[in-house]
Amino acid sequence: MLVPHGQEIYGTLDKVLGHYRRYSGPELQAKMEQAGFRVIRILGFNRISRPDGTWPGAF
Amino acid sequence: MAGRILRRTTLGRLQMKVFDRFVWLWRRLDPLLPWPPTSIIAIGRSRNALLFPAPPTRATRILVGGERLALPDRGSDPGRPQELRRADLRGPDHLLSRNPEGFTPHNTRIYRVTDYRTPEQRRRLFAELKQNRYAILGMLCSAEPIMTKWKWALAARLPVKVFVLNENGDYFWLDWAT
Repeated sequence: MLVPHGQEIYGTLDKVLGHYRRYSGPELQAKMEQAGFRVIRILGFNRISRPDGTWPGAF
Repeated sequence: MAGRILRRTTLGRLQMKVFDRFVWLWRRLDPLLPWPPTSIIAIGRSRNALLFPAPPTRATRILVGGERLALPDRGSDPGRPQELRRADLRGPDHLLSRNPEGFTPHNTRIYRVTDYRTPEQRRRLFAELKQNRYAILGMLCSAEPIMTKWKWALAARLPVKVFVLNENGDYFWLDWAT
């Protein structure tokens, strides 16, 4: 399952794309387990489009 | 950045083209970058899925013991039997295959399609399979046209619910009763 990551960067593009929320790893794992899945692995990717995530005081 | 900081609602064509052009570079850089990702992928197995059951317990074995599962073919992927064993697949009662070597389930009767070359032999086989009154016919499909006619013939002739698993791990049910 592929989902957008990081509610703190939820923005206008998310709204246009139909995203209601963005997830954290633990949150996604908890929801999947609640839905009857055993989570084997969680992978993060596409860091290149998010350099702002670590800029101090960016938000 | 585009959505959160610049408040954009679209991405420019040039921006997309540049991004696409350098995907090979992003892939190499991605694991090296220290900040959080934009997307995450979770890989999980359904606790309720037929082929990926929870670890076998006495109760689970009793629950499925009355059901019969026929699996026509596993494809030519040599890795698949290992995957099946790792997934702790409950062995099918019966297995119909062209090349069952490497698949060593316990208590599984194996039907080799090479033993049924004539129409008369196949007619008797279908009659026997029909008498077995299977609850589920599992169909493992690789990306190759292996045993295609056998699969469709079984799905068409046996009064059974068919479980199809394709090479991508997608699965769906075919049930003539619904």
